Amino acid sequence: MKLRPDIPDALYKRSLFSWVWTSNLKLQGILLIIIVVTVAVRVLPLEMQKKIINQAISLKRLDLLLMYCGYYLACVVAASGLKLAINALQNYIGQQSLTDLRKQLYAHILKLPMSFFRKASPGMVVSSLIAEVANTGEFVGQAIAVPVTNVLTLFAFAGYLFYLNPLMAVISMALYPIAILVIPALQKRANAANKQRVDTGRQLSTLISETISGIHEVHANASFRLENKRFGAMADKLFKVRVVWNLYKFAIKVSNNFFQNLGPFVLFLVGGYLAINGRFDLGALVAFLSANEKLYDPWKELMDFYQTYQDATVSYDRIMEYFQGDPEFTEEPADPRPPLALTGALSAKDLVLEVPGGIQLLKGVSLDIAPGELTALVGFSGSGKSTLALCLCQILKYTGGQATFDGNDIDALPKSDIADNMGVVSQHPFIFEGTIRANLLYSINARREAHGVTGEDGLPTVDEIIAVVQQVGLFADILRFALNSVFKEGKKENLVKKVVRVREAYHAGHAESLADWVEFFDPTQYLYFSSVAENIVFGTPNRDDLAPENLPSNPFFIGFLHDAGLKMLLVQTGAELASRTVDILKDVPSPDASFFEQSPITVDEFETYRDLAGRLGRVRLHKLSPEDERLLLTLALRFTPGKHTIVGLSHILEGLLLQGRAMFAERVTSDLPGAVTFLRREDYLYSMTVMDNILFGRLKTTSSKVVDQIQKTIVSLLIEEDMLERVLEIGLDFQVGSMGDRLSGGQRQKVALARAFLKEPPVLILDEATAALDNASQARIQNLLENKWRGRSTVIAVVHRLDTIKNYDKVAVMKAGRIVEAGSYADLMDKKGMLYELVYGAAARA
Amino acid sequence: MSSSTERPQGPNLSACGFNDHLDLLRELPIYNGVPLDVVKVLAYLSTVENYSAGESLCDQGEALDRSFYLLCGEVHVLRHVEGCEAPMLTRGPGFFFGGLGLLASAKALYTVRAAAPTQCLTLSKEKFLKTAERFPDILPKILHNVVAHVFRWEEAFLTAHAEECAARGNEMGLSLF
Repeated sequence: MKLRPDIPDALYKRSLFSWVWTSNLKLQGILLIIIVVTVAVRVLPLEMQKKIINQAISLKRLDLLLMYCGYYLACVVAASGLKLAINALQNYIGQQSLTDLRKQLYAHILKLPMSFFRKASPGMVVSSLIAEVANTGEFVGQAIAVPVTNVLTLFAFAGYLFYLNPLMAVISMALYPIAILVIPALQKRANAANKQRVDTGRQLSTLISETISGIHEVHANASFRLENKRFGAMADKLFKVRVVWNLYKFAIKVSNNFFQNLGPFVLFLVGGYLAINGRFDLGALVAFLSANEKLYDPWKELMDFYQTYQDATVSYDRIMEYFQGDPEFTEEPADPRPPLALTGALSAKDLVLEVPGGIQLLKGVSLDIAPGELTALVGFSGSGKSTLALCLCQILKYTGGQATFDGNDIDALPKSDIADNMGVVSQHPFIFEGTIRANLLYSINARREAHGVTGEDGLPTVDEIIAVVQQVGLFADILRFALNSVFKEGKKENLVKKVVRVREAYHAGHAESLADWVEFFDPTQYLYFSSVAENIVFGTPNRDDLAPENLPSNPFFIGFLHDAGLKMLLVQTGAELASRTVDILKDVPSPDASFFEQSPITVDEFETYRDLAGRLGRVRLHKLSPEDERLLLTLALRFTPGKHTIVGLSHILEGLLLQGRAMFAERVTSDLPGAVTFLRREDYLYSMTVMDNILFGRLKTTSSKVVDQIQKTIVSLLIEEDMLERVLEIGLDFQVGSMGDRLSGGQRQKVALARAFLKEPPVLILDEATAALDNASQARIQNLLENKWRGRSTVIAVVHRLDTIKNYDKVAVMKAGRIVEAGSYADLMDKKGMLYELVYGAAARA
Repeated sequence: MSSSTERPQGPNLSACGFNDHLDLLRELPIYNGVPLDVVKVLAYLSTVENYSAGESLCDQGEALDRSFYLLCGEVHVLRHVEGCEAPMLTRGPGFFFGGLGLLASAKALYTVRAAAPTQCLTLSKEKFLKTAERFPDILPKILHNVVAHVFRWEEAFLTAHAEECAARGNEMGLSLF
């Protein structure tokens, strides 16, 4: 007999049981041995029971009693210990198989063709990988242990009973067949009743939602009675159905108990009769009763296991059906060989792409592109220009004709060779969570990982990264990220000194022009773009308990607020901020961080403040709990009127806060000398961003034009101090947020372009890759393609805007899945064909 | 809000800034029929920006990625034609533009430049889209308002310029789209 069945290569063809075979078989073997021991240990107590009664008690032998009880105890302890071991092994095997399945499934899903992802929702993939596969793991863990344990236990008990008394054994087991007949019949009826209950419930739900949606009509017609009657009839129907359903459920429970309890009755009747007649001893009767009771457990466990099996089969089959499909391309060459180094000659001959339904997106496209040539694909939307580009880089699989890359059939090339020799930038590039630097290196790191390269090998230097960043126009953005970062005290000491020098130089040259856009840290003015806490403290705290987040629970500070007459006013302000924010955002489904930029509440705190706002409606301000008061003070101290415009800053509060600033300074000087370094032009301000430090103030605007203008003047000063590179490095470590949501569309596009350029591939495919860029950036990229990449890499650009294609080597005009003309821009324009029509037609339309 | 000619300083710090902004947005035709709770969110996400005279609010050919409502000041709407600037309109407080840019990627056909110190209530496309994603029911309503506007505008234009339109017939008919 073959021990291990054939397991198919394709994951989705594997059976549920195959996972048992690929689970940890060594552990499964140990598990089996433990099970056999366990079963023996389970039967022994029955024999001990018999011996205790027949020998120890009836012969009044204390030594025997102690000995048998000792054995009994040992068996019980051993059985419990072994049960724990079985569960632990089961759990380990199950979880290991689950992880194995998850990894393999994930690897399989990533390689599925694009067509799969067009119809699949990310949510379904997530729930499959996280929740639905869990059943399978549970099943694999139990697959051997549970049936074997329980069947063996059943047989062992039954065998023991036959050994004691065959007649009694037959009688006590005679009840099971009856139970097997009655209970499933009841179950069937209960299921039918349940189905009816669900149907009726659904009808009732439909009726309710209809009435609620049409509540205008109900009120307009005052049709309350009519609607109540409709609802009442349906509710009554549900009432009847539910009563019947519950009755069946109880009947099943009662019959179960009945059969279980009937056992001892038969045993007492027959066993008692036999015992009275001396044909059966008392000890055996007690053992029988125990065994009879214990027979039920393995039985029940087997039933539960069957349910687990059913659940696992259903979800496993559903998952495998959902993820059915083979990768369209091989991942790596069948025989290991060094990666191909290709020159970038691409050619398509009679290329056809047909999608289900017989629709041809490409209808026989032929095109030859020489290495280093700059080629533009143009045409109306739907003409197939993107489709052609995606076929050439293996993202889509063509169905007819032939496309080659340096003479190699693109269809047959492994994905690794394509990735090694091509860079692809799509119209909506994807940015992963992590730093800008990690995203810039994504393509390079993917290749390094694929070829098993470790360490620093194959990574570009910081200078190379910065050069590319500059080329794609991401320089200003990265500088901005760096200038918005906050240095921890004690770190980057060298840089800090330079920043202070830059501040001086900057103020000497630009102070006047800045006044419109910057609110300087002026001790005599209230700062609308700094928080209330910053306005009071007006310096950098040197003690942790004076850090902004700790102020609301600092007794010294609270005492100060009280004495300065600020406390209740601030609590009141906090209450207004909380109520306003909650009122505005309460109905927004899953608001993300960007909804909290204009409120002092952060996204994680929203639930807390929502509850607090509810309490504010019921409780007077001075009766709030100390915790609620602290929460409100926290908001008030963060309040920055220039940013949080939902609440205004009253003149009274402003005046009191300004006086408070002076009073706080006095108090710190007398009570906690040295606890705060007050803002001085000579010092670096550790609690603030680099930009705040250079400006010695805060920007009053978020306008990118103003920020760019200021940055431009800062750059030259940074260069003078020889710190530009260090600053940019800090910017490269900026966290882009989940799916890059802290970057704008243009920034994402630039990151994607830089990512492809850094790889320096022989072929660059740009699928409307500059569509989201402003005109200046678009021109910069165009310039780069024409001067840096022409001749070095083959560039295929899908282009929507025709004003950028004049200097391309080749322009291919597409219409309805065909190339209608191809040649140099000048030739095609002279011909006055499609391109001419496209250019002038479009111009006329604009 | 008065159309003061002096340079507006700082944000709108009056106690009821948010409520004023909410009232302004509620009256805009583009948000007609959008539930109050959603307009509240949009008003909250809007920011006040200041422009000095000569500064442009948006530039012809650049992405139109925010909407503007003039709180005070004055703007010129210009179009660059072959290197020359052709002034088209002058608008004051209450002028709203850029609404279409919120709905889809579009590049501005005009440059809008502050003629005097100007304060605007602006809403970025990104924030608008995040809100629309969470309240998708508002998009059909806004689309309805846009379509209604196109028809109303063309009808008024046709009535006012009946003769010219007849002469340049093949260039007319936006509402036929």
